[in-house]
Amino acid sequence: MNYRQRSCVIVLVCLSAVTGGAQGRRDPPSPLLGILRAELRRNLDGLKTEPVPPYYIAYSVHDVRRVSATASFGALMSSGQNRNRAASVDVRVGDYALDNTHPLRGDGAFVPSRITRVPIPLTDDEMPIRMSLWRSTDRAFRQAVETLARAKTNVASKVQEENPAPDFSREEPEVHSSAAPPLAAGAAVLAGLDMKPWEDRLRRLTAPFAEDPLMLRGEAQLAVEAVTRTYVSNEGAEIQDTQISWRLFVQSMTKAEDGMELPLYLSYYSRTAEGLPPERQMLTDVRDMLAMSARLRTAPMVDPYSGPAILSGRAAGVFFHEIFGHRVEGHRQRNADDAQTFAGRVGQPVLPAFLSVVFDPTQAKLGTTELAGHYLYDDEGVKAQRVTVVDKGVLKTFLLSRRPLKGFPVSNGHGRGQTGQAPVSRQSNLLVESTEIVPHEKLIGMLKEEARRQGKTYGLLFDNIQGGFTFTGRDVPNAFTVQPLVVYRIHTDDRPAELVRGVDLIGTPLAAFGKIAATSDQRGIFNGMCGAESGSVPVAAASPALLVTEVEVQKKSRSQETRPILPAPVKKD
Amino acid sequence: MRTRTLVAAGTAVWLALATAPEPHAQEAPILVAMREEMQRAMAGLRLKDEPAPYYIAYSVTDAWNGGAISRLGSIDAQGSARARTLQVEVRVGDYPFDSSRFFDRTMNPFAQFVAGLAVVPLDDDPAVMRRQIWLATDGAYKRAVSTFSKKKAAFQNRSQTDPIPDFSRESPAETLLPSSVEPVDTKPWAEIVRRVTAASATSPDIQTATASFNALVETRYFLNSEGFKVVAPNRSVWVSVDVQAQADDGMMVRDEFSVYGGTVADLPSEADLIARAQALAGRVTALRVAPLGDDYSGPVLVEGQGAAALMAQTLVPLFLSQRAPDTDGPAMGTAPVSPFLTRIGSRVLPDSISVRDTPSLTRHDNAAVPGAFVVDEEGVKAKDVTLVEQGRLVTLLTSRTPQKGLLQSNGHARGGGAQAAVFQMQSARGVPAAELKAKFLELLKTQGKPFGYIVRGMSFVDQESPAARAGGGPRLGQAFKVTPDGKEQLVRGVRFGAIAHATYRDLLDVSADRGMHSYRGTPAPGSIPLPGSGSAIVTVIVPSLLFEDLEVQRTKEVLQKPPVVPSPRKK
Repeated sequence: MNYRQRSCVIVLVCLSAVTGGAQGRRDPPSPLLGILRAELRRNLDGLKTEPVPPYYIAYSVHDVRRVSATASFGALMSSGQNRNRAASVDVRVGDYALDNTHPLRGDGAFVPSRITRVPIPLTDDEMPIRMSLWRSTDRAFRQAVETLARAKTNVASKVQEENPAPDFSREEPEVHSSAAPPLAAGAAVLAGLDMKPWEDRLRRLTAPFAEDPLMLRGEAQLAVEAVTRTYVSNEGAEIQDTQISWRLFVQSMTKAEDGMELPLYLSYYSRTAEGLPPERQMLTDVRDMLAMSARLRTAPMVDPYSGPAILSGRAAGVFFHEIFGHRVEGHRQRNADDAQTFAGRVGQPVLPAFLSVVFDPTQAKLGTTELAGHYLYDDEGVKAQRVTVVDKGVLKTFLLSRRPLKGFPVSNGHGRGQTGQAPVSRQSNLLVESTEIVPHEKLIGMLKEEARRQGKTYGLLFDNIQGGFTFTGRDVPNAFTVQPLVVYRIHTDDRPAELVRGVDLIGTPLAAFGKIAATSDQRGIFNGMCGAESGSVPVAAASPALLVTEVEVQKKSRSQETRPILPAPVKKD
Repeated sequence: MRTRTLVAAGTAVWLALATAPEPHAQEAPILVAMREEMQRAMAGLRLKDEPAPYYIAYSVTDAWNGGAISRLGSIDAQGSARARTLQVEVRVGDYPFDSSRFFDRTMNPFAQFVAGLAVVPLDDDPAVMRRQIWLATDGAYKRAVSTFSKKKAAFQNRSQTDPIPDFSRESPAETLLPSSVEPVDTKPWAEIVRRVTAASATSPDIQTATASFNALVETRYFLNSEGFKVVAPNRSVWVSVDVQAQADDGMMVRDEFSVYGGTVADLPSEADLIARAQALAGRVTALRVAPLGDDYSGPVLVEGQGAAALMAQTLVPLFLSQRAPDTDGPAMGTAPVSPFLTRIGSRVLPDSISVRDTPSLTRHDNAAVPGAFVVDEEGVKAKDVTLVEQGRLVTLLTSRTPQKGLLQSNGHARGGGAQAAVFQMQSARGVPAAELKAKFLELLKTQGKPFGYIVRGMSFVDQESPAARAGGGPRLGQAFKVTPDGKEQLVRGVRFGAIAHATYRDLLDVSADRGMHSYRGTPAPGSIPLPGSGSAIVTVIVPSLLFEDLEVQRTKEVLQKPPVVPSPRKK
């Protein structure tokens, strides 16, 4: 795979969520499980006598129900619901040591996606489901045989791999079903959901935007999703669970006089309707958003700057997700095209000794906030695990899927992918933990101190962030960009914090880690969607606010389009 | 300006000619919002030192669509959606030379596609509607100004010998038709298509049998700065059935049919659909074990649906006036221009044949004509057009984008470009079907051919890539090898050779009886698809065709071996 660029657009969106239901309890599984099991067995037996037979077949079915509505400036724009079911078929030929998923090196040839995805009926009708699985299995099998032949040639003809490891780990097959009650519950929640009150709420939430004629976007969307996953493999794994998510997302945009677009976002995420904040609070947040938009329009631009800065907890979460998290995703350590920032550094310090970084998909909440990166079993059917990647500054391990690394033979439950995409190692809930915490006021004092020491008249405070992207490839500069929405200048004298606009935070990863000087007691949580080679997956990142002794900012590229020529239409009533 | 009001009372809707100067009292809120923003924009939308708009058009499509897909007796998908989309067109310059028809290389194609598109609320909230229109107009105007300056720069050094205007001048017209967006109940139809696919899996050799039901209910609101105004319904429903099987050599064989109507009342009964689906399944099962056809050149008889589809693919497009956009770089030489453009007045078909496009024909042979329509996407009333008279080409089907010698629209802007509506071919000397076949067999004998081909079925839409087609013509669905004694053998794996436009000039004979078939006509290549209606239903009413000399070839496809594991349907 030849992915050089990974953009992780964490637009404060958060989707997905998690398995309800008591763990360990066995609920009667749906007929679908039996259909999948039988067709899998039939295909495996039927292919047994082939010259290169499959050693692994897995079927996963995702039943996705979605209800959503959007309002803009107080009026309903769309409202609808849909449901679809699709099966993903994964076939491996060869053996655990070398199979058709083996990365091809120095061979620019296109490798088609390994996973075959096919729609299946909405009801558990045996014959049409089996027909879909049968045809897809055949297609996946043929492709696997072809790819394995290429992989074998590639291994034989290229130099020895830097750190050879098997292609597929052996894992204890998990059997888990929380399906029946949550499945029914999830379906019931959506089927019986009266959208009318929610549509009205979205109208009320977006009505205030119409009061400001300079607001060019003022939109709110509610999306409720229930995904039931049914997974079976010939290794004996059988997993059925349901994830329900409620997500309310508000976005606004205004323009400064010079044409610069000034977006702001708000998002609420929960696994239940009751978990979303009351409307009163959302309205207050919308009013704050409007006030911030107005202030941003007249805020001064910042010149390119290099100096100390504080990243708020949320901003620091994104910062870590981008510049650290993506570099500890295990499969990158094996990819010959990847810069492999941390490969070979296990056991060595990579962060200041007061910082630890934990990825914990088993954690559903942090304080009272629900975390979007929570799950019990990953997309390869492996049980989720809490993984301490960095302990007191020292790198301990990587995020692992079932693609092993040298010295790390088994998965730690981080094989993730969007429906229909081959899972790779991905982040879950990233938790930055610190042993040196100062009160936030003190951190601000330290920022001023540091600015003075560097001969600056101010430092920067990154309060809110849209998302970012990072490059980990070998043949591009190993850099990152984080796009802030709300930035303040903190003057070294007694002037109050000053809102500014128009900068992006840029840098190179290793340099940035070394410059983290302190953390505060102000913790922030960012729930979002992360996009990478296996598609979009829900993640969370939580961190205390960070003081970084040196950051670099550059001018944001901006729209050349002016504000609208005519004034906004005037409401006549 | 004449004014008309659309009055709605309860469920009854009628037209009334208003005499009192209170024209907009009962008008749809969206039309009010469109007019108010139009007036504001025409009066004041102007960038310093840049031209003001000379033309603005707003088109709002209030659409409900719903449907269900069934496969082998199950439901794969079912749903519906409602949306109101706005398209804004702003032109600067003047009719002879304006900001349109210019391909801006600096803008990505997707951005050009979405330029001027917006969603308007489902709530009849005039303030929010106006806001969306205001923003979309502002964006469209700025793009028009920027495109116009690039276009002027590109044309600065070109000498134009025979300039064709960019936009035709037409007399403003108001077309206000009763219209409402009432959803269709898809539930019974989901059950019907489910039973259709359950009944059509007649043999275990059939790998898939799918059937879909689709319904589209739209009201189109159109307003432009010239005084055109349209409120018009656009309703269509259709059922498509598709059956596939795999031959022992791995070749996939398939066949399909679609039926169209304006409302569900126009569709065949469930029993009729099941009977047709079973016949379809029978044909596919026969096709699966049919021998491969042979390369051939000689007389070919194309009957019924086969003739309709052949003309849909190779003849109807020749009558569409097309004009490629200009560009600032090397000319986009690949954009097709109808070869018929230079043949107006010349003979393109045999003397006995005439061709007309008649959007006004709403019923034929006691059945609804799905392609009929009243007013086109540019607000121009659809006109019945004689295309070929006694074999000679009279004109082409046009939109408001003029072409050499075709300066006016005849109301055929459909699906984003010029498109046919109800395409009729008739011969003054048509012969009965049986006689046509006898003539064909006679021809085989006189030419000493051991066999010939009769084509009875093929797809209306070419789904192959040009690479897969490799210079060949349309693929044949139902092709029969026929010996001069009249014995027929179904074959598979054949296609026509390339069909040149001159082929039709040499048509030997056509039948007197004509069949009516409909299909979804995709926009002409090079045109920009409009939202909501990226395609339009075209009806063809045409005879069977006897060609003296056509080529039939083997398809050259790479065959995948049949699956190792037998189908779960084969116990």
